[in-house]
Amino acid sequence: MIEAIDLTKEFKTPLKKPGLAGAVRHLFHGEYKKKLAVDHVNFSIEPGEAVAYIGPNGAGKSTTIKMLTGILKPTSGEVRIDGIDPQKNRIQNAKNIGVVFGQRTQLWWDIPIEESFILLKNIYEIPDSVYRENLTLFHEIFGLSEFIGQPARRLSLGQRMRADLAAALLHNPSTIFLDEPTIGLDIVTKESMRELIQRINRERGVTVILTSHDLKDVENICRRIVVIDKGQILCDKQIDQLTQEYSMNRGIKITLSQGAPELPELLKTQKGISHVSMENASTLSIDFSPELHTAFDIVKEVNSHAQIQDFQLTEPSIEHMIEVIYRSGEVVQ
Amino acid sequence: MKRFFRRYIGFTRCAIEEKMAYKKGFFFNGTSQLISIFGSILLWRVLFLEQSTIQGYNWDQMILYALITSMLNATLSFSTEMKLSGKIRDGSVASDLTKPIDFQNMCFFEALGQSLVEGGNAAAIVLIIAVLFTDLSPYLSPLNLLLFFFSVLLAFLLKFSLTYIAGLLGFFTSNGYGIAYFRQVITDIFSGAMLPLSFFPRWFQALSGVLPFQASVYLPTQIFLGRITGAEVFRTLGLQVLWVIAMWVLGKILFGFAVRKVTIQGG
Repeated sequence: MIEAIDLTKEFKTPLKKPGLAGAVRHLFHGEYKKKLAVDHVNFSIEPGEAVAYIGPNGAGKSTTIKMLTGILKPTSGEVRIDGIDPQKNRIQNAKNIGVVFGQRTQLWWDIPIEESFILLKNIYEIPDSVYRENLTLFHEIFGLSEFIGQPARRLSLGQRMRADLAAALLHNPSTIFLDEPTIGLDIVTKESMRELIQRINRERGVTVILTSHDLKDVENICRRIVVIDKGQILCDKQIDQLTQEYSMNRGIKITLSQGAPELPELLKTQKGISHVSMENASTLSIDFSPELHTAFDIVKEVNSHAQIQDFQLTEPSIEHMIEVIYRSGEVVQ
Repeated sequence: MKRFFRRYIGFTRCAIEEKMAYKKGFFFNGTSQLISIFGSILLWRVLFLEQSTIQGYNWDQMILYALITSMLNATLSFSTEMKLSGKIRDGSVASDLTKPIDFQNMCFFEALGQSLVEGGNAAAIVLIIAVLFTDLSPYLSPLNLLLFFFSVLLAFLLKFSLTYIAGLLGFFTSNGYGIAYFRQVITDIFSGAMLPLSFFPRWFQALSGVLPFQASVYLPTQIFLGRITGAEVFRTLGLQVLWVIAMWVLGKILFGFAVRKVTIQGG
């Protein structure tokens, strides 16, 4: 079980005045600005769960992952993985986890992928049978055999990420941390990455903790979603439950022939309309409760104020829900 | 112990393969070493025209001194520390830290692989020149070779730590090249790589005596040339051991600071 208890990380960034004088001054009189990257975060994750940890850029996702993997020491609060502190017992903890940082590779640049794998086999002391079994699985899903003899520098990004994911799974970790594993990949590669992650989660009961900006990853792999922004958790729910709650709301997009800047304020005063925004100068995005209004009511209402060119109903998608959660976070701040 | 080696030796193997991947670099390193050795042989030839010994060194000893220092200098070069400070700066150290290994040990075994290639290459060149230009026979007793071997081994361990520390300092100052160059210059002078330390004034010898650098180059040459004998040999090896331990520990402490700092930069 993975637990974060009042987990907090504060970073100090130097406040330097520009120029040489500023640099000299800073040398003797360092001033720092404090920033809470992770602010009293609490959650616990059971073995075998698949959790999406999402939030806008700079929300504190990677910082949390680094504390969970034992790389980074919390400022206060603690992390417990099966009862132990991963930072104090980094090496012991590392045996049970696999980590993929989508932004960088852990493979050796100049030597064949296979050699990197043998290196990992030695480091983790992976038994021959497990090693062979895993390679077979990766060949099957990833077609790894096509490029296993090539050095990482000759691989395409898609091949390299597949090799990186395989490398992180080679030692049968009980938990895997995936920090934006599908960033920059094409659809086919993304699909095969998701398939493998899904399989090891469902078939082997491996706990998955995933950050991604691609909500398709989230929908395909995860059953629970934790949303973080500005270091604080905004929402921690099962995806099923979230979908139910938010399907109470429906969305409609209306394109106007001419801009009508006063319209959002006007509509907001109406009961049963939870959100109105202008996506651009002439497109309105409206969320409404289907119990109080029909889509036709909304269109009619808008039509009485401005001329409508086109409209489109939006289905409740995770993307839409997340957007709503992010926005509610901004309001809280 | 065996288990320990099996876990880390892969880094040595990979480092060797990585080094071999660039065959041209291999060739240029060998050639530049050869040229610099010939340069110093020519220089000493001029100086030995007028006299048969300089500061107690005869021709053979002087050339052997130059050859051994050239070999020790060629192992564990610039690239090791640049790689290290780069790794911390760009945050890729994070991947290494998610593995069940000690970072310093990992770097050591990697450096060992690089050095086996660089040092092996250099040793071959040095041996050929030594056979061609000097009389090696007085130095080939098994005991002398054994002591020399141990001293070189300790010198290598020490040089690793010095390079590792320089790499970490390069990270702290965000000026890897500056620190690496500084280390090179300091090492060249204080280790005896440029000239035997006994050629320098007394105050300089006293200063280099309390610094670790001489234990990485000068002391092995003195043992090989038989300029340190008897019980003094074991005191010298003991001093090398002390420096190896001290610098290894210092490296460990510095790494702790460096990691804390890097995580501030990594998003």
